[in-house]
Amino acid sequence: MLTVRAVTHSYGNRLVLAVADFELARDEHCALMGSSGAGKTTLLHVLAGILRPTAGSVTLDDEVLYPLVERSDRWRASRVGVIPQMLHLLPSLSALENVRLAQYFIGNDSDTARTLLRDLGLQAQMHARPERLSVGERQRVAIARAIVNKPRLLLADEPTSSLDDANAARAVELLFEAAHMTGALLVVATHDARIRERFARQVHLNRAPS
Amino acid sequence: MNAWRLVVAQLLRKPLQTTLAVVLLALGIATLVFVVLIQGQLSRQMTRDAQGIDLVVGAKGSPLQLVLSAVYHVDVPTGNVALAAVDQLRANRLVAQVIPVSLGDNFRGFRIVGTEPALIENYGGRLAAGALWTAPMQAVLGAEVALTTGLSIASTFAGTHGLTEGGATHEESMYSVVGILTPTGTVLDRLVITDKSSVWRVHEGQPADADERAILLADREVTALLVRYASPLAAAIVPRQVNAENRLMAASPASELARLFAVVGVGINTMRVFAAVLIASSLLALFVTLYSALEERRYDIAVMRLLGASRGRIAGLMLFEAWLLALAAIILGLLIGLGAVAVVATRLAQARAFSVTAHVTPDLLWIGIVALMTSTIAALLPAWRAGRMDVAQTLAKG
Repeated sequence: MLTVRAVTHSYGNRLVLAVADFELARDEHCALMGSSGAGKTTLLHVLAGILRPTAGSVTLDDEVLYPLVERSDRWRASRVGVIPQMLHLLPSLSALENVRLAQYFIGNDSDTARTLLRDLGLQAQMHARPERLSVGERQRVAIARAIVNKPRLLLADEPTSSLDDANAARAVELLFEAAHMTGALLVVATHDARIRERFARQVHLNRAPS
Repeated sequence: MNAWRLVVAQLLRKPLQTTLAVVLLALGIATLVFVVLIQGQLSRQMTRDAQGIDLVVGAKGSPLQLVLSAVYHVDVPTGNVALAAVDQLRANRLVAQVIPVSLGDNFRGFRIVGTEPALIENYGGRLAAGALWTAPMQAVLGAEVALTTGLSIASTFAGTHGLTEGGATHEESMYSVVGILTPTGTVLDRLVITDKSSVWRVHEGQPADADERAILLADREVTALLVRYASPLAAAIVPRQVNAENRLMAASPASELARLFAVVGVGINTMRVFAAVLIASSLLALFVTLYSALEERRYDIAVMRLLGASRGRIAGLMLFEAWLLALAAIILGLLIGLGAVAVVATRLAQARAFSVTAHVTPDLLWIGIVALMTSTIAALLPAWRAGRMDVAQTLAKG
């Protein structure tokens, strides 16, 4: 369960994020909707634990993320999986190594990376560098990297922005599947109207009043 | 996945820059290794070769030349000394020992030294085989001579006139080998030692009659005398006494050596400065490599943070990267440096001059430690910046 209360964020005097309170149950997969500049990515970073909001509280399964606590990088990375908009796979590592990197930093030495890539249909591409992969394959590697540590919360930033209709639909299904596989709550930041219908729950962000 | 694999993968992304940084640092280290090894070994060896010799007495000329010829056997003598000078010095109460040295011939570049057994004792030489000479024209070989020439006990050989190879051969007077010495690590290893009368016999030929024999006897000379003092007081008196003689000159190996090193030291220091400049510029290259990597890898770093790497972990990875580069450079530099020393060692051995060997000494450990420390310093700022990077801001930009 994810609870967001009175979260605001400002850079200096400029308020960039002001979110109405919301609460999501474990399987209440949600789309964060809003035009660009509404603070979708900022909220996503707050939820990912890499951006401390100026005010407000965030709780994940009764564990407080903000405020007042200082969580270790390992703590948040083992609870939250993130798929950045540009994916950012490490170009010098193979697909498998990119997934293993996520295990390495939180000290998870199980061999789930290989199984996961196989389940995602990347059996043959396991040892290929990202530059040799297609956009869709790269996205699947990034998904595997985000869920390999079995997070409780899976975040994706604009996962369909560069995809055509068919691939966008497929990508969203894949995200649902990934969330289902790990039992994670899926939160997707998007301004893509094509995929909004797929989400039972939507949170709308409005441009913060300046 | 481990830190090793991760860092190697990152380094291989920029093979050219990585190689440049490693090669530059390796060259600096190699130069330092070369200077330290050669200088250390040469000075140790020259000190060892001068052991037990407080003063060299020879014909007037250059004192450095006298020492180089009579003690180190790398230069030509300044002239000869009348045999009478030996007895005269031996009678001096301030003198403990006088070892006469007669030079003139060589065998395949190794000098044949006419002297007394005291020379062998002075360097702690022990017989590996055979015995000392009991008659003229019997020779005892230094360890290196025996090894290089392949002569063994009872072998015979003829000396060649002059101190280097290529002179006329004294075919009519053959030496026979009676003893071979164990290695001493001194100049003794590179000498053919014989009784001083052998040298006279080779050069005098057979006298025709008793008169001629008498004339030859009166003219007998040696090349130089190696003197050991009986008391420290002698250092102040004996050289003056010797120099007062018309044809004699006294030279102290210790002070000549100090003068030589003062001159050679300029060259050595130049090489040291050169090595320091090389290392400094290689560290700059290392710094630039790491610093520019920061910019290129900012998404990699942000993603690693996102995946749970702490600031310290990121900084540590960067330091590890610098250490890995330094380690590669140390190994490469050591190999290049040792290779260069080996080349010089071969040349010196061919010239029958000093023996140096390419081997790892404790001094080299220091070079390694210094290289690791300085590369750490070069990596500190990039590592600190990498750790301080704002993850959310970086990811938001791209």
